Amino acid sequence: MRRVAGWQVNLTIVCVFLGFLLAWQYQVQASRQESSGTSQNTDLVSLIERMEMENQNLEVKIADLRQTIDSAQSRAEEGKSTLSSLEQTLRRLQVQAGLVPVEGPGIRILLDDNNAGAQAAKESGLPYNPEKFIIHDKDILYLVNELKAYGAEAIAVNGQRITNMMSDVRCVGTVILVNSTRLAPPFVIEAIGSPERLYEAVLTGSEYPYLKAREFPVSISQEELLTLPAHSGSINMQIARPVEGGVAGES
Amino acid sequence: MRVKPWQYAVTIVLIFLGIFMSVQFRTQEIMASSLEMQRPEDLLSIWRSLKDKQEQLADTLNSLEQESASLSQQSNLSRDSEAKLRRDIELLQMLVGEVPIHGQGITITFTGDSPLIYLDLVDLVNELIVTGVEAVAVNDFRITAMSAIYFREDGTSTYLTVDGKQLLYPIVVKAIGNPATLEKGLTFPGGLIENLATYGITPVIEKRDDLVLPATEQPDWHYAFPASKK
Repeated sequence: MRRVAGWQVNLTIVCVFLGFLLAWQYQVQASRQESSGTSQNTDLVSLIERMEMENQNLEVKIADLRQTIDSAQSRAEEGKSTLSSLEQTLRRLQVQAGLVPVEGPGIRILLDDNNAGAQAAKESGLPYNPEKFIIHDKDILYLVNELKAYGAEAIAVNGQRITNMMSDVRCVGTVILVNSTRLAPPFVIEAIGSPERLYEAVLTGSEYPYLKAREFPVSISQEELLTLPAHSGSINMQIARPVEGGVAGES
Repeated sequence: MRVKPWQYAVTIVLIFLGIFMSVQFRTQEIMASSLEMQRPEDLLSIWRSLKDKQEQLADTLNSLEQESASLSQQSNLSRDSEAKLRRDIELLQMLVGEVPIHGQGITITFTGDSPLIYLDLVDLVNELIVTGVEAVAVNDFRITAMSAIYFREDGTSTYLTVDGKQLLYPIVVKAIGNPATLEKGLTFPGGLIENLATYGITPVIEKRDDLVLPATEQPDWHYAFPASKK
């Protein structure tokens, strides 16, 4: 027998090895088909795959929702600071409009009907005109106007706060109304401003000296701290509208 | 050294073997982890743990959805609050004269030959307020709560002022409100117009479709402050 060459031995070994691998592979294939052949496994497998997909969907939804919530929260933060600055603006306007009680130094004027004079006139038997002995709405209106001319920052008559376009002074018969509220004498006019300036203005003005000269019981005092209530009526703005866009570029 | 033919053959076989083995190894790996290869009990436990995870995820999603819904509700509320605030602000800005406004109304014009005194203008503004006027301006000076209608003496002449500013003739009073109502409030028998006429003052009243009243500077307060809460 011819001697077997070295390479033939090697080749044989390799081929045998290869053969084993092929056989093993075949066996594994066979067993695989065997075990996956059961329908139970197929169901479970597809259930598992479905569950995995659902979970993935849920995770995606959760991630999206987290982002939505994030941006909603930062918008909410901005909104809060807008609201608070708007509230500040509203508060300032309410103060300006007389809708908030105010306090400060100023003067207090007391006016009352001249009952003593009326009494004397009645008793004197001479023609008696009651109008001459009562405080009129114009007395109050003009006195309030005078206070404004001398720097009053806030005014109230018998607790009725004088505000813009809502505070009229009128009389119905002999009843005086301020803010459409009936007032009875004595009348207390309080004004916040420079006490000295207001005091002097009233004493040298047109109204107070006139009443005093006609012997009405009137008095005036400087006050360190007056508290004037808020105007409590409703605001009447049905027709007026703001003028649109006063800024260039807006129509 | 010359390569022998048998060496070629062996090399080829070995290469083939190598490729085959690595493919085999990969396949084994995949197959070992493939679901199909698991025992049913193992598959069941995989499925259970996935189910648990799904429940947790569903819970998380649910609470996030609630959070998102409540944020959305809050944002609606704050949007409403904001809208209301802006409306209230606009109303007050119009009232105090911080913004220019317009609307129908009337004008009352006094010419230079009227012996007008400041008290007549005070009466006029007061009458307009009685009649429900919404805003008034005299010679385009907006009347505000503390606006003073007064006078000043300048040598020999006296002139009327609003908030210290001189009024030149013709003096035009603009008033925003219902034109018919406002006019009637002045012209009724025994009313202001009749009264003025007895002094020789005869202003002209015109109804207008659209009057523009300018804004005015808001006063600085030096003495009055919002009352502190006791």
